[in-house]
Amino acid sequence: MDRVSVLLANKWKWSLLDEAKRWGVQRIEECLSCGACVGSCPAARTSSYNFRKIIRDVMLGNEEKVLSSREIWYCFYCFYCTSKCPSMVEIPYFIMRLRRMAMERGYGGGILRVLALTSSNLLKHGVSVLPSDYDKMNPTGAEEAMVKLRKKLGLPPVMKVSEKALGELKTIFEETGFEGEVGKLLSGKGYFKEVSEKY
Amino acid sequence: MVNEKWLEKIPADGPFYLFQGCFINHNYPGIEAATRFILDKLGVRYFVSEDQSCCGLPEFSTLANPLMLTCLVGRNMDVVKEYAPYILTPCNGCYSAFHTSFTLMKDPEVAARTEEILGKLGRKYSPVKVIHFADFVYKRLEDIVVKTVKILGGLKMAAHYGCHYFVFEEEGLDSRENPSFAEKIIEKLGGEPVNYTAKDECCGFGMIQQVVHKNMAYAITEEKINSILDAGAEAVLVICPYCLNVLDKNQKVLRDIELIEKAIPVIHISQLVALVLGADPDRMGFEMHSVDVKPFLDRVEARKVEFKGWSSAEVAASPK
Ligand code: SF4
Ligand code: SF4
Repeated sequence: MDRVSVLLANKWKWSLLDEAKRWGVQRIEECLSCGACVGSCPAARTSSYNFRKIIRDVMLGNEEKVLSSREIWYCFYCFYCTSKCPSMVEIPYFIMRLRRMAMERGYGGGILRVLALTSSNLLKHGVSVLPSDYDKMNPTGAEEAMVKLRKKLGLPPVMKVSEKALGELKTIFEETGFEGEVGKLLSGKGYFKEVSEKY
Repeated sequence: MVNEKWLEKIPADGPFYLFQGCFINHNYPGIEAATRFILDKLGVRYFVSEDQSCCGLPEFSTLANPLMLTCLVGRNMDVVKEYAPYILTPCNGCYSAFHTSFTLMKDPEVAARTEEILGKLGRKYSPVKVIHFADFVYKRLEDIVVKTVKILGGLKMAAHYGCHYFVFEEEGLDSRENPSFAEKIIEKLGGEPVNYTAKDECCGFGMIQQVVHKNMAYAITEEKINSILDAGAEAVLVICPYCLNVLDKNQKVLRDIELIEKAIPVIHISQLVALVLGADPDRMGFEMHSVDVKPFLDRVEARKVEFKGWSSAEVAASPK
C-alpha cells in the first residue's frame, strides 16, 4: 500500500464504508464536506437532516448511531444534491443503501410499517397503487368509480395483472425475501425497533 | 440546452410498448386517454399487455429492496420484447425505475442474483430502450403543431420537470440546472413560458415523505407553488402523474391554512397536447384534479387562422 492509502486506511473505518458502498454506490469518500448538498437539500430545509454529518459518521464508523436514527429516513430521494455536488457523490442511492442496512439490523419500525401498505398491494395484485388507496373509507366504491371513469374516457377496464404474471411475481417475492419482510412488518410484532429521535 | 445527440436517438415512429403505470391506470386515467389520443393522431402504433406488472420503483424507494426493482424491471422488459422494441412512459417514476435498475445492475452481486431469479422464470435481463413521453412530444413537436386545432392564447405556464426525469448515469434530453425543452413546447403551442426560481426543485412528494413526514412535503410544495405564483404563472405543466398529484392535491391543504394565496391548475403534458390536437376536454380525466382547471381550459382557444406550415426561417430556428 502506498503512503496515502495507509494514512486513509488508518483514518477511516473502511468496513462500514465498503458495506455502505455496495449496489454500485460511488465516490462516498470523495466528499469534500463543502456543504453544497446541504445548501440545496429540501430535507435539510425542513428537518434536522444534514448529509455531511451522516457521511462523517459513516466514515468514522459510528454505525449504530447512523442506522438507528430517524435522520436517514428524511431524504426526499430527489437527486438535487447530486446535481450540485462537485464530487458527484451519489447521495440518494447511498441513503437507500443505509436504509437497507438499517432494516437488516432490525431498525426502521414505525416508518416501515406505514410504507409496507403499498407493498401489500403489490403482493396481492401485482400493482402498487390501487384506486382504493385514495378512498380508504370506501374501497369498493373507489374501484367502481374508476371503472366508470375509465369507461367514459374510452379506456379498457382497470389494469389486472394476468394469472401467469402473478405466478411469476410470486417466485420473485419469495426469492428476494420481499414477501417475508412485508409479512413481518404487517404482523405488528416487534421485529423492527422504532427509530431513535436523537442524533 | 437541449441535447441534440439524445434527441437523435429517440424513435419518432415507435412502435412502442405503452407502459401501464399503476398510478396513471388507477388514479389518473386521463393521462392514459390523452397519451393514446396523441399516439393515434400521429399514427404511431403501440401495445399493452396484462403480463406486465408494477415498475418496481415503489419497492425500492420505500423498502429499499434493490432486487425487487431489478427483477420487476427485468421481467417487464422481457414481456415487452414480445410486443415492441421501445418502451414509452408518461411517468417519471416508471421512467426512473428502468434507469435505476440499469445502475443497480452494475453491482456484480445484484446482477448475479437478479439473473438467477429471472432464470427460474425462464426469463433474461436484457435492457430495452425506454423513452419518456415528454421526449417523444419534443421529438414530434413540428408534426404536432401542424396538426393543432387549438392554441394556448398566450397563457402563462410554468414548467415543472420533476426530479426523476433527470437521469444521471446517462445524459437525458436536458440538464437539470436549467432545462428548456418544456418551455419550448409551451411556446410552440401558443403559451408564454414562465421562468421561476424554484424550477429545478422537488414537488414535495419526496418518495416517502408525503406519507411519512407530511409536514416536510407540504413545506416544499408551498415553496414551489409560491415561487410559481410569484413569477405570474396561470397554470403549471408537469410531465409526471406523481408531481401532478402532489402539486395539485397539496394545494388544497395549503389553501385551507392560507399558506398560498390562490390555487393554480396543474396539467400533464399529455393532457395539454391532446387538447390542442382537438381532444374533448371532458375526456381528459380532469375529474381527478382537485384544483379547478376551468381557468386553464378557458384559455385554450380555437385557432383563428388555419396553420399554413412553417416558414423557412421558422424551420431553421425550430428545435430539432
Ligand atoms: S456536495 Fe458533495 S462534496 Fe460537498 S459536502 Fe455534499 S456530498 Fe460532500
Ligand atoms: S436526494 Fe436527499 S440528500 Fe439529496 S437533496 Fe434530495 S433530500 Fe437532500
